Amino acid sequence: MKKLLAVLMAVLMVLCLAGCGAKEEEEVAAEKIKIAYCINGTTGDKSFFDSGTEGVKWMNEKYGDKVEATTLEFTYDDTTWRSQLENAFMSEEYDIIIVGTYDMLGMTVELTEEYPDQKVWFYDEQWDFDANPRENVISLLFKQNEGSYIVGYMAAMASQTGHVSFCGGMSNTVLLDFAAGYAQGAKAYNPDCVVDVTWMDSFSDPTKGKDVAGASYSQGVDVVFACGGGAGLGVFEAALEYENVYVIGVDGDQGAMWEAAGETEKAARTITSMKKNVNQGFFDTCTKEIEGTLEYGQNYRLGVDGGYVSAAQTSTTTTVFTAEQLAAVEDITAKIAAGEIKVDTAF
Amino acid sequence: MSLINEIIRTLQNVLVLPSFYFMLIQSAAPILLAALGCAVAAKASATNMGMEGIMTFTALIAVLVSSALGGSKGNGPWVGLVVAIAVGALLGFLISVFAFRLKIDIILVGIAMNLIGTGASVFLMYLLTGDRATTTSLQSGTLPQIAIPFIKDIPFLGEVLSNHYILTYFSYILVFIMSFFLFKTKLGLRIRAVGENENAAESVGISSLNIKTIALVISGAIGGLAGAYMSECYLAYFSSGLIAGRGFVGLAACSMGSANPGVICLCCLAFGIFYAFSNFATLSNLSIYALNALPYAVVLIGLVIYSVYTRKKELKRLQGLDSEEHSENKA
Repeated sequence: MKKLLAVLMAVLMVLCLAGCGAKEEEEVAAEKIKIAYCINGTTGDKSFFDSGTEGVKWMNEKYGDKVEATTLEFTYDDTTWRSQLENAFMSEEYDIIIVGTYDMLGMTVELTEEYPDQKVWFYDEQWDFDANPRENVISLLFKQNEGSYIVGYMAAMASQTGHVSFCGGMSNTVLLDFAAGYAQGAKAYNPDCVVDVTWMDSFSDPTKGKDVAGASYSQGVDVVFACGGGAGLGVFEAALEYENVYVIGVDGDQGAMWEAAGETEKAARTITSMKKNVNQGFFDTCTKEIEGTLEYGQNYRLGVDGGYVSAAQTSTTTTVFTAEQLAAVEDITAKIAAGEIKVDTAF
Repeated sequence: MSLINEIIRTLQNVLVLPSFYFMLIQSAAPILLAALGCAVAAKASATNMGMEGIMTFTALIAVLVSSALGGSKGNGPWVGLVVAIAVGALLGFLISVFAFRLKIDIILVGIAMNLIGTGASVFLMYLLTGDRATTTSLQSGTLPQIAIPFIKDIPFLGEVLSNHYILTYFSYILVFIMSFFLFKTKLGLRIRAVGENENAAESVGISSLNIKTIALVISGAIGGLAGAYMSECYLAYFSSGLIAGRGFVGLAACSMGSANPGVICLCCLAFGIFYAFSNFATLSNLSIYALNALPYAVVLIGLVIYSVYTRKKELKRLQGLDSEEHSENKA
C-alpha cells in the first residue's frame, strides 16, 4: 500500500513538473502574434486559397519567433461560414483574423462592429470605409485589373483568330474587375479583337468550366482566360479537345503547376497566368504589422507596382511569344507600374 | 419583347453549331446512366435515393484505381471502370441490406448514402493524395474516344455523332439493353412483378426480398458506371464538386419517364438541350442565372406535367371501372 502511494506521489510530482514546463512555453507563445487565415472553401484549389496558405507558411518560416499563423478551412458549405467565422471572433484566440472575398463581406462588417478589439485583414473585396468605418480593419485589395490588362494584351497577341474570351466564376465586382482589365488589354494590342465575357456560375464544378469554355472554343475563340478557382480547371480540359487553342491561368502560376504535376499537355496550352500574389500580399502586410507601420482603418491597394499582380512566364510563354513580343509585354508592365497606363476598373 | 428577340437570336446562333449537339449528347449521358440506374430499382418499387452518393464515391474509386495502375499508359481506366461498377454494386447491396434486412426506411438510407458518399470521397482523397479539392496530380487518364468510320466523314453529322467517349455511346445503347432486360427477360418480369404487387409475386413463389436486392445491386452498378463516366470521360480527374446534383436530376428524370427507359432517354436529352444551351448562351444578353437555372426548371415543370397527366389517367381509369361496374350491375 505504501509502495503504491509512493509511486502515485512520484507520478503526481512528475506531472506537476511537466505542467510547469508547459506553462512556461505558453507564456512565450502568448507574446507571438497569432494569426488565423480563414478560407471560405478548402485548400487545394491550385490558385487563390493555396496562394494565401503559402503566404501563411512564409510568415511562420520567416517570423517563426514572432508570429504563429494557422489556416482555418471553412469548406464550401456556405451555411456554416457565418458561425465558423463568429467562432474565430468569439474565441479571442487570434490577434489577427484574415478573411476575405465577396461572400464574407457582409458578415465581417457585422462582426467587426461587434468585436471592435479584434484586428481583421479583409482581402479581395472593396471595404467601404465611409459607410463602415472600422479602426480594427484593413482591407487588402489586389489590382487584378492591372494584371488582367497584361494577360489580355498577351491573349490578343497569341490569338490567331482575333477572338478571345474571359471565363469567370460568378459575376461579382472582383471578377468584373478582372474582365474589365482583360478586355482593355486585349483591345490595346488589337483594337479589332473580339472579347467575350462568359460565366460558369460556379467556383467548384469543373464540368461547367469545361462546357462553357468548350462552347467558346467551338465558336472560334482561341484564348480563354480561366478565372474561377476549381471550376476554372475544367477550361484546361476543354482546351485539350481543340487544336491551337490556349488557356490563361489565374491566381497561381498554373502553367508551372501543370508541369510539376506531369501534365505536360496542359502546361503546353497555358501561355501565362495572371498571378495574384496573395502570398506576397499577406507576407508584406505581416512585415508591416511586426514593424508597427500598418495603419488600420484604410484600404491598401496592391498592384503591378510591388509585384502583387503579375503575368507568369513558363517555357510555354517563351515558345509561343517571340522575344520582341515579350519585351513589349515588359514595356506595358512598366508603364502600368509607373501609372502611365490607366487601367479600367469595376470598383 | 426584346427578351424574346434575344432568345430567338441566340437560338439562331447556337442551333447551327455542331458542337452544341455534341455537348448535348455528352452532358445528357451521365444523367441518362443515373436515371437508368434509378429505373431498375424503381421498377422493383425500391427507390434508389443514394444515386448521387454512389456516383461521387465511384467516380473517385475509378480515378484512384486507374492511377494506381499507371493511368492511360496501361489498362488503368478500364480496370478503374470495372472496380467502380463493382463498388457501385456493393453500395447498392448495402442499401438493400439496410432497407430490407434491417428495416430502415429506404429513403433515409439513400440520403445517408449521399452524405457518406460525398464526405467519404473527400476524406479518402485527402488521405491518399493530400489534396482536398481535386485529384489532378494523379494522372488517371481517360477511356478512349471513338471515331465512327463513315459517319465521321459526313459533314455536320460526323462532328455531332463521332468522337465521343466509348461510355457515352454505351449509355445510349444501355437504353435498349435496359428495355430488353425489363420487358423481355425472366428477371425483368420478376422485377416488374415485385414492383407492381409484392404479395401477388410472393404467392407464385418469387422472393420479393431477393428480387429487390438484385434490382438495387444492378442499380448501384449502373451508378458506378455513371460515376466512372464523370471522372474518366467527362473529365480526367475527380473533384469534390464533380457530380453537382446529376444523381438527383437522374432520379427526377427516372420519375418523369415513369421508369420507362425510352421515355427516360427523351427526358435526359431534353435536360441536355437546356444544359448545353445555357453554356452556349452565356455570350448573349440573357441572364446567366436564369440560364443556369433553366435545365432544373425544365425538370421541375416536367415533373408537374407528368404528375398531372398520371392523375388524369388514373381518374379516367377509375371512372372507366365505375362505368363498367354500372353496366355489369344493369346486366
